[in-house]
Order: sequence, then structure tokens, then C-alpha cells
Amino acid sequence: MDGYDGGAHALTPLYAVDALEPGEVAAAEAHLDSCVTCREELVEVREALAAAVADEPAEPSSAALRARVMAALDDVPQLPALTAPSAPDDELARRRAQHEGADRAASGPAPRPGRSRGTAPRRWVQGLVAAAAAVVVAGAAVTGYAALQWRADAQSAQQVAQAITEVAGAPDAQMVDAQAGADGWGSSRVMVSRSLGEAVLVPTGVEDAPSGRTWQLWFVSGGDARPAGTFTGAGSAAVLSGAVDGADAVAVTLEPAGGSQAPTTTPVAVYPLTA
Amino acid sequence: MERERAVDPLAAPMARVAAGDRDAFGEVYDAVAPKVLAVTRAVLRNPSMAEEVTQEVLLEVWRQAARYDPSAGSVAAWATTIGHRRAVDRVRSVRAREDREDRVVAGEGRVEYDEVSEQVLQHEDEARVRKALKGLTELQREAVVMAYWGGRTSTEISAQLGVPVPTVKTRLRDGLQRLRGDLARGEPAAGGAS
Repeated sequence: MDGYDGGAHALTPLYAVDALEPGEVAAAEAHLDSCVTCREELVEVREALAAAVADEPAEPSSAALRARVMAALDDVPQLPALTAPSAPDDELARRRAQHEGADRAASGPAPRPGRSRGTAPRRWVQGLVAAAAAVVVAGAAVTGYAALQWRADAQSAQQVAQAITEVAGAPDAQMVDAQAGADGWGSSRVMVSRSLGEAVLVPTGVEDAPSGRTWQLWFVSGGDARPAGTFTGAGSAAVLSGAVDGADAVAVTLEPAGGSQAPTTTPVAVYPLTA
Repeated sequence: MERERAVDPLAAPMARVAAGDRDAFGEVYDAVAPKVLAVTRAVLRNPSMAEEVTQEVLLEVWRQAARYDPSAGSVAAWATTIGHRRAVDRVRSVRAREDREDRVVAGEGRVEYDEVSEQVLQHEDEARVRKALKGLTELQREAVVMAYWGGRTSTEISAQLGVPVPTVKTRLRDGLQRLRGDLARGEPAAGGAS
């Protein structure tokens, strides 16, 4: 057949590929709210399309894009989870909210293997709440301890975030990879702006320092190393204390808890800074 | 609708992203960004615009992480959907502006698109997409590629191909149903990363 008149159902596949005219979108969404079959179709068509999209091959600009996105995270506050449904009846309200919140990317519920319907979203949310609580505790510990260690005007997480945003936005901002990363330090990077004289640690995969030890950062100029703060290994980025000035490199060592006045161990990572 | 889906390898990292875990976000980024970049590049046909939109999309994934519902599709499909929507919104606003300018400058209708569906895709992408859509007829494939990779509405496709809108809709519907069926049967998709 050539003609096509499937009524409201017929809008769903076109909605899935964003091929509807602007005036048709509202009708498609209203129908999706009430039609389980179409919601399921939407999810599966989108899944199939995503699978059909070939990954863009990595290019030199890919790493820069990744660095920009990672550096911008501090600038983007995360939204809280939507309230978990207390009964399947709430499913519609939850889904509506998600449609609005998540660019209508999601629709109909489909329980995952091994989970019963209705409990899955609640468990999901509870897991998030527990995980978020753990992060808050870790963050508080760092903030309290860091007050003495990090630069005095950047004590709160918000101030740190703002300082990082400034560095990231500087025209001469540079993301530096470690020359050699040892076990435990992951693939953390340092972002530097010479014009601002600031450096920021962007941690990735940093493990907790062994008991009684701490990670310590240094500004290295010639044979001289200036302490630039300690780092416990908790996830978020941090501003190095002190000015970059004429430093040739940023180095990281494992030091006794509380930090040292001069490095006492071999660096686990060295970040060469261009002049 | 009670059909089971494969476990999403990004479900666990995504839960950690929702709790503010940057390492987990890095994992999610590496898995989905190449796909988002591919779809925004295909639609926008402008690498720097595509990067801009990809950046927006990934930051949106970060922002909305706690609201992502794993039961409503994979993280990759979610991110790709957001990317496609945003790329389409942007390309349509650009086209609308160009249309207005065309009318003012030339006093005539829009410039004919020079692309048929093959030209919507870069050469290297075409083979991969063709493989992913190999279960579709030529006409279905053409419609799906123009709509999804080309970011065209059914009306635009109709005008470009010179066939009635209902025919375009039929080809799209049948082609997408076929694609959906192929995935459900576990037919290998051409491009997918994992």
C-alpha cells in the first residue's frame, strides 16, 4: 500500500526520527502518554537507531572536546532525582515529568531482568540517595580539612568551582597530561592558565592514599619544589594553592599525612608546563 | 512491553554519575560521545557546530543523570536521542533563517537541496549505515537516512523526492519497523560501539 493513514499511532515512528512538522509534535506526545504500544515502539526504534549510528572516529579535536566537557562539569549543577513513584499509578506522572525534564528521551516502563515492576524505580532512587549521601560526607571531610591546605579564598566547593571555571575560561588555559602516571594516580590531568597564575587538578581514577599518607602537589621550578596542596583522593577537582609563576612543572608525590615541606618520595606524576 | 532488554553496560556508571562521580562520567562520555558526535555531524554537516551540540548534550547527561530512567532505554540511546533532537532543532532554525534570507534576496523559493540521500552521509559513513539498514528496501532506506541522518521532516523529504507526504510516511514507518525488528532479532548493527 502506498497511502498511509494510521491515525495517531502513525505519528510515533516520525516522532522517533524527529521528522514531524512542528504542528504535529504535540499530538504525537499526547498520544504517547496514553498508548503503551507506541511508547514501547518509540523506545525500541530509538534503540535501533542509536545502534545503527556509527561512532565518529577519534580525531585530534576529540580529546580537546572531552577536556572542555570535563572542565565544564563544575559549572553545571546536577538536578535532583524525580520523586520515586509509590505505586504503578504514579507511573504516568513520573513519565510525564521525565518527558519534560529529559528532552522526552524516555517513555514506557520496561522492567529489567530480575526486577519486579514497581520496585525497580524505587530501588534505583534509593541507590542514588545512598550514593549521594556518601559523596556529601566525603566532600564535607575534604572541605573541612582543605581549609588550611588550599588557597584561603577558595574554601567552599562553590568558590573552588568558580575558580576552576575562571581557569577553564582563560584564553591561555591548557590541559596537561602527566608524563608518567603511577599506580593509584589514575589519568588525572592539570589545567593551567599562565595569565591567571592558577592551576587546577582534574582528578580521574585517583585512589585513596594509603593509610597515614596523602597525595601532595608541587610547583617545580628548576630544582626547587613549592608545596601546592594535598589531595585525599576524593573525586572533585581542586585548585592548586599558590601561584604558578615561573613553574616548569607540577609534580605529585605520596607524602606522610598532613603533607611535607619538600618532596620526600619520587613523583608519581609530572606535568610539564610550557612557558 | 514486558519484553526483556539486554543489560546496559552503562547502567552502573550512570548511577554513579547521578551521584556526582566524575570518573564514572568519563566512562559514560567515552562510550556515548562518539555516537552523539556522529549523529550531530550527520545532521548539522558542520564539525564545529556538531562539537558544540555534543558538548551541550554531554553536559545535559551530567545535569539530568539522576533523572535518567534505565527502564526507558539505554544510556546510549538516551544521549543519541537528545543529540539528534538538538541538532535537528538547530539545523531547522538555521534553515528557517536561510529561507527568509533567500526570499528577501532572491525573491523566490528555497534553494534546492543538492543532496540525495547518499550525499547526506559522508562516504565513509555511508557503507556503515548501509550495512546497519541492510534489511530495508532501497526506498525505505532512503527515507530513513534522509529523516534521521539528514534531519529532514516528512514534508521536506516529500518535496525533495517528489513523492506525496503519505508515501514518505509509509516508507519511514515500514523502514523503522524493519530496523526495530532486526535489532530485536539480534542482527548485528554496523556501527555500534560498545
